[in-house]
Amino acid sequence: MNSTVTDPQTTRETLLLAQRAQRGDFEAFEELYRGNVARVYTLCLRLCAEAGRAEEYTQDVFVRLWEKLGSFRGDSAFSTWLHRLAVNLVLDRLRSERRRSAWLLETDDPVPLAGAVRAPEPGMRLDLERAIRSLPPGARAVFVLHDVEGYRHQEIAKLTGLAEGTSKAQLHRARRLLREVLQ
Amino acid sequence: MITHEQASGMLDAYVDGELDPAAVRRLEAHLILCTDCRTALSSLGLLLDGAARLRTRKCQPARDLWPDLARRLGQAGSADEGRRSRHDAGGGIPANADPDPKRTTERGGSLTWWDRIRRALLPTRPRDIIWGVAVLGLVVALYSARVWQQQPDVGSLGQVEGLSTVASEADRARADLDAAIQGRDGAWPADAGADFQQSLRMLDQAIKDSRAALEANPLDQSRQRSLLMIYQKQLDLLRWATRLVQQT
Repeated sequence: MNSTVTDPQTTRETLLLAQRAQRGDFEAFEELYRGNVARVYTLCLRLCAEAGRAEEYTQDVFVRLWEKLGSFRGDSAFSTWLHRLAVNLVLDRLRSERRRSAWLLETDDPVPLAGAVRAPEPGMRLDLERAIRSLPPGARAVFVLHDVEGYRHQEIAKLTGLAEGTSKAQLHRARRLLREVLQ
Repeated sequence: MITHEQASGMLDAYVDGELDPAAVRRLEAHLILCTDCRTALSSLGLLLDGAARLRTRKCQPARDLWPDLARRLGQAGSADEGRRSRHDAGGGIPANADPDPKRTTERGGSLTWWDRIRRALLPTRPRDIIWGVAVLGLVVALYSARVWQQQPDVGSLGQVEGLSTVASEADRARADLDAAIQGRDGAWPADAGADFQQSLRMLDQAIKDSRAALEANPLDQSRQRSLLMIYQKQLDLLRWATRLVQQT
């Protein structure tokens, strides 16, 4: 995954909050939640494409965070660790909801993606968000992880249980569909 | 030569840097001749730039999820007691990762690194003063290394390697193209001018957007990489066009 530039002061404060939360400080955990909820929710929304389910998954992520906080040892940035935890949880949920792995492998193109999300100008951000939500689940997950979040195919293969070649094929498909819609 | 279908199938791998040099050469030779593939490549570049921009965009849930979450965590409270006990017994973030001296506990005669650093910062014994000098030296060395690392390519555009170079090359390529066009009395080869100018306008706009965003956040490395990629595409396009003008 691409590293992000993080303010050292923020990193230090987050580490302190994580440590206080590990000791059972609920206020510190709420601060961690407030500081990270938008990022987690945005990721959940992009992966599952439904606001209601994204809210549910976001809560699940923070419940799991509360349970797993003890295993965070500060070896990586907290934000990176939380991001990985969120990706794993959402992919688990999506898999269990849609018959294991089938959703990632399906190859039918969606019924017309175009029209509803056609952008007035190429590259418009909001239309790209909407277009991503209209992608088939497997192509959407790989596109979000690779092109938005910066994961490599090898990492995506590990996270999703797909072969690298399948991940590449899904990415190719997602890009083709998005270009058709956004042109 | 490769077919149009083969070239279309290679564009993703091309922008992801996954093609071997021979395949890159074959594809680029095709791109010189194929307007459709050049247009597809431009739109792919714009799509990837748009996707990279999404990385920093966040949205909030429509409602505050905390009350429900707090309730769920409250219901799990009894189980959490066991979890917290395990943390207290040695799990969790190690003490030497704790940046807050007030929270660091002494552990008998065995000092953690943080204990040593803390004593070095507030020395009371000769040995602590030696530690202080060592820590200060380490800090200076790390800072120097960081400054040194950043120097080679820190320009107005940031630190990603090659960004300022490829931007300058794109400027030169544009001047070369202008000269080539003037050599033809300002006339473009039939059917090539409009396509090229449309592609170039798209890339210029993408560069303008990326640079504006970088002014707001100059250290955004994903944006810098994205800008680098757009510049490379622009450079490629300008060079193809120059060759095209010179060959016809």
